[in-house]
Amino acid sequence: MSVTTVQAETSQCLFEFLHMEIVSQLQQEAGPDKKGEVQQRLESLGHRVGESLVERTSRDHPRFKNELDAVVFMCKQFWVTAFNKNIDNLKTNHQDTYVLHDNAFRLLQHLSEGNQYREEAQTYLSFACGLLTGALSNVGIKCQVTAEVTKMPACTFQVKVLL
Amino acid sequence: MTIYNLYIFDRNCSCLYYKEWTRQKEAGIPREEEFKLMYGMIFSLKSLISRLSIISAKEGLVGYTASNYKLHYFETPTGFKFVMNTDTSVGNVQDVLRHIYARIFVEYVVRNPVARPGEHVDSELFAAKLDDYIQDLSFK
Amino acid sequence: MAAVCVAVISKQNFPLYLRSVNPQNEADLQFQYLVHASIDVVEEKVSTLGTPKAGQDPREHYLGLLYPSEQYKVYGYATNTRVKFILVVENTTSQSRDTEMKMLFKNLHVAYADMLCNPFYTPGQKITSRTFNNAVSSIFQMSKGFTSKE
Repeated sequence: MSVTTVQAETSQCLFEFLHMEIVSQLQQEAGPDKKGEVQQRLESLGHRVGESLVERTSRDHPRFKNELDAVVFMCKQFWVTAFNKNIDNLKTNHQDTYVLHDNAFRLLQHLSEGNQYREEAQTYLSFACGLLTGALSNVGIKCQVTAEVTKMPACTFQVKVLL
Repeated sequence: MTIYNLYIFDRNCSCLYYKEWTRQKEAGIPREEEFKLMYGMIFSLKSLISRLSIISAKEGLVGYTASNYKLHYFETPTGFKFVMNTDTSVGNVQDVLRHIYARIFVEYVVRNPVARPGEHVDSELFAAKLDDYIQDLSFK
Repeated sequence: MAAVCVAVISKQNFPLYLRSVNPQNEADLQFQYLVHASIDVVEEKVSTLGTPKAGQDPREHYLGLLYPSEQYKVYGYATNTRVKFILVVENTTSQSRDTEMKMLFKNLHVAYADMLCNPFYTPGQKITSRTFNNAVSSIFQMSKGFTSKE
């Protein structure tokens, strides 16, 4: 059992460090004041990854009854595969908007627990936004995802379904 | 046990972090100079110890005891140096320093996406966690 | 009940992959027609999954027999990501078991998911992966194995 625990820890660290370096590289390439460009590129990276990841994760899951079922799947199994924890809170207006709230987002956990680094934190959410967009679009739900940092390390992802 | 202060150096002799909890007497020189002095002293001591060593030992400097304070030293394989000054009643604190490195420094500085290697540590989270840990120790 | 043709249809309903066990021109065209016609049946089945019907588990991916023709039977499977797999088997007198078909589809699904994770593959492109081809060959082999059992 201890062997499996060690393996799981290594691969999570690996992804975190890789992500840190990707963000840093993109920021260097884009230059100062090009945050939007960096975030866009991160989102498109996450999109492709999300498509593949959802195919793998939903393989053994029974068919989604409706849109809400698919979003709930994202909050549970999909988020666990990607970040080793569930989404803590899901709200919806039952029309076209879902709000996913994560109390301790993994990629922000080592940054701060207060107000420090709030602006920089936004960039670290883009990849996850892309993940969600890619996953949901592959399941047939075209949407737009925006993320916001509430109080570090908590954050919310707002999913707006496009028709 | 009373912990007076803590220095963290990287392998390029820059002081990444300094925090003091109790300090009654200043060194009389500016902070920057004091860091250089501390690093130089550690470097020379380590070199002396390995040269004058009677038996070949893996470990080098652990610390030294003066009449009114004790200095403790811990170095990681990657070159990070942790120097802590405490009162003389304290025994071996290698475990404490290792804990500060592994559970606080690595978690909140190395894994911090914004902190670049070689830069001064600005993370408030790191400072807060370190404070909590030291306060806990001081009450034991 | 040897499988003679495997097809993968994308979510926009164009074929990503079509392969028959003996590639001959005439049979190929026939399979293309069959597969094309079966897409409609798949769509119909998927849309009626909302209303529970006897014998159809709405949470299953396996859609069962789409329609039988004189020579062949066509089976369907729709994934959560709207990708459809079509399996055409010879219409022999032996009754083909659902469990066997489900197993074939499961293997196909696994092969598809692995292929999607190939960084050189863009979703929506025609499937040209050799690994996927090999997986489909083993599915043909497996289905022949079912015939010899009966």
